[in-house]
Amino acid sequence: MTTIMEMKRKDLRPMPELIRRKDGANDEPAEWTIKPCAAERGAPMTAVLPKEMHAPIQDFELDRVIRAHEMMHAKVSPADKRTWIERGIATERGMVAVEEARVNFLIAKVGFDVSILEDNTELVAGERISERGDWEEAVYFTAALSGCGGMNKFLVGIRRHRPAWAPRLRRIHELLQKELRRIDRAADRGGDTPLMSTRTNSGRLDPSKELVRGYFHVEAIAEWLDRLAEEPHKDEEQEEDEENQSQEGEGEDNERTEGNDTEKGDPASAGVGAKNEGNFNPPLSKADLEAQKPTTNREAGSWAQLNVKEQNLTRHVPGGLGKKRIASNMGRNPRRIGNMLTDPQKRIFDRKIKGNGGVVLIDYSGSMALNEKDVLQIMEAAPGCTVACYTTNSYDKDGKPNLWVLGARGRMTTLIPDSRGGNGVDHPALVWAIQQKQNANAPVVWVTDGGVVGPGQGYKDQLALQCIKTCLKSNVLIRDDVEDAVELLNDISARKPIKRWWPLYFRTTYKRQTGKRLEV
Amino acid sequence: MDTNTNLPQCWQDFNDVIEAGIDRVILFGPPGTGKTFAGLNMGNTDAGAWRLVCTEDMTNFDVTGGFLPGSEGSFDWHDGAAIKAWRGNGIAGGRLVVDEIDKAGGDVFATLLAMTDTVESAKWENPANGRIETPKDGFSVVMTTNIENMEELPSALKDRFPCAIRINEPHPDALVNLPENIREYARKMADAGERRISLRQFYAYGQLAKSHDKERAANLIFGEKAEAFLDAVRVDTVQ
Repeated sequence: MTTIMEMKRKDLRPMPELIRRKDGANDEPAEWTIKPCAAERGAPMTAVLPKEMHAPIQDFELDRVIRAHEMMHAKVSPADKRTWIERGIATERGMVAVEEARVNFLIAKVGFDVSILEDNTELVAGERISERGDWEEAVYFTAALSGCGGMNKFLVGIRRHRPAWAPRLRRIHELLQKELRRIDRAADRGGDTPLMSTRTNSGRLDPSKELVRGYFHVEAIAEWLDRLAEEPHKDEEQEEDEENQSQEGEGEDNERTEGNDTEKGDPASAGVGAKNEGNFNPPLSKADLEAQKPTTNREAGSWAQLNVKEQNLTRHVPGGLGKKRIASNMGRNPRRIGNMLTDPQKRIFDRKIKGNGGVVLIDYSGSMALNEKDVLQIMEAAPGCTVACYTTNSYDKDGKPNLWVLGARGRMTTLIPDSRGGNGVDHPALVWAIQQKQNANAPVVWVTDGGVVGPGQGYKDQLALQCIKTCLKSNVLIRDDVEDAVELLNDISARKPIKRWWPLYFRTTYKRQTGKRLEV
Repeated sequence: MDTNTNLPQCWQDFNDVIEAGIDRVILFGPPGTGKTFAGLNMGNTDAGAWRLVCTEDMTNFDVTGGFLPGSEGSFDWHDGAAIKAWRGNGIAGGRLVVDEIDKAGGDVFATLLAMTDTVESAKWENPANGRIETPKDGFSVVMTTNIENMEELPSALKDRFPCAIRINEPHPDALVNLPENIREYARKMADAGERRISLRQFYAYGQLAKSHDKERAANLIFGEKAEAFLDAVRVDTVQ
């Protein structure tokens, strides 16, 4: 019989050298650097490209499962995560958490007992997170623990301070496992990409740049997890309040049907980081959780690379971002003395104001139209604004421009480029437009019909959702055509109340994926 | 050896070098990858190939030759491997494969330097008959070693061998005899440092796994590494 001391003395380093992948990583025979570490959360790690693994090496069953976990990372995890982070579909935190769940799911599939994967810190972590009221961290931690033995202890810790969070987090764990099982079954039938696939999307063998297919599942689930983890938007909160009120009127409350997990307080006020001891409700209602759906692997798409070109801005447009004098009833030099007689407010002085500027981004695909007059109208409505249009074709790999700056700094072009037919770069163009804001308050107006697509791809919910999230986050205003955009800019200039509008595509996608309505 | 169109890079390099007529090549890298086998068989070895395994205790007898007692009380001359390779088949020089030259003692090392010198400079007087021997055209030398850092080799030796190729995986032809399901593992584990599993171990494992279960076969052949090997295969074959 092996004694504890003998088990401790053993040096059972894993053999990641043996792992085969389809993306070209680990293809050349070469030694990995294996560094022994403690069998504790956070200590083991795997880096595929530098061929380095930190893993416990003693002869305990927990050590063995952790080694298998790290080996599975070497087998299926992307060699370089930067490409995925740069895509911006899901957060890095979300992807890391879901990747843990995927890896645990896969090692369980090959027969390792993941129920022993715990290091007794889960209870304390649950307590700490719930005490702080950090819903976001609770959601990600749940995903990272999903399938492991430590899940129950974590939820016990959560219950100590936020008992109402536990059933919601457990449900997130269940839904995550359900989704992984669904993908696995579909792959077995040949209807989906296998979870563990390391084939590259392009077929090229370049582990540092190419996207491996199996990780698209992780990205899609992580994007769903991000939605669950994020604090509800104000609009949504208001909408929820309205819905709650109407539900109360009907005498039906879904929240109270969850057995012993009685919830108290105001749901809207228990946001992320809420320290108020009285607010124990999770920021996510049961109905919302069930309505949120992860996008499927088929919905995964990608954008073309953005290539920006500034047209020759030869035509001067009156007005600009610079200072402008307007009449004022206080000042030093009475430059407008005539106002003494004509202006009821007697604004005989001058005051300098700055133009607000703004950015107008125009979807210039085949479904949209644009001419020089449109650009002029926009620039007159918002002096000093930047106007740009974007379009590309299905085979955008030639490095040719796909976003053109048509007007900026009070000048505009007289040469509108030809449309290349497709969209292809909607989200990168949107991000670019947000980066062009002249100041924090400058409006960003996006003229689009919402038919956002990657190059050579159909309409994908995942990409549309990415655009919607960016619009919500950066307060981008959408209009259907240039005429409406000009009207909007005039309203902004006149400080009239602005109403948000969403294209039908976006409304449909948002409803389908989140179960909620985008306010029109 | 079969000519394989999809040769691994290191073997392709060796092939190209030999085909281009480079006649002094060092093959280095982990043991058990077939460096000596390649030296003896790859390229033009029609005039014969002779192997010399260097150790600290070896003498020049192995390199150039020496006298041995004959049947009639006399002493007869016996050629060493280097002289045989110089002569080749009498028309063209042969191939001399020198294993672990870095392990040779000072005297032998000096002789080897002389024997592996360029054809124009290399000369040796046969003590048996006083004839001056020179290498025939076509004489080539392949040196193999397990040392990883070529800087560790004496500069005189490096100077004679302008081309050094690191062989980090077995030749595909050497893998053909293995069961298909472990061929790739044998290839990848050839250069795994301390956790290296030699091709010979994989041959033995493949043979044993035919009659016994994999766990027993792995335990018998890989010893303490058996669990790591089997777990890695489990993870690798996830479907």
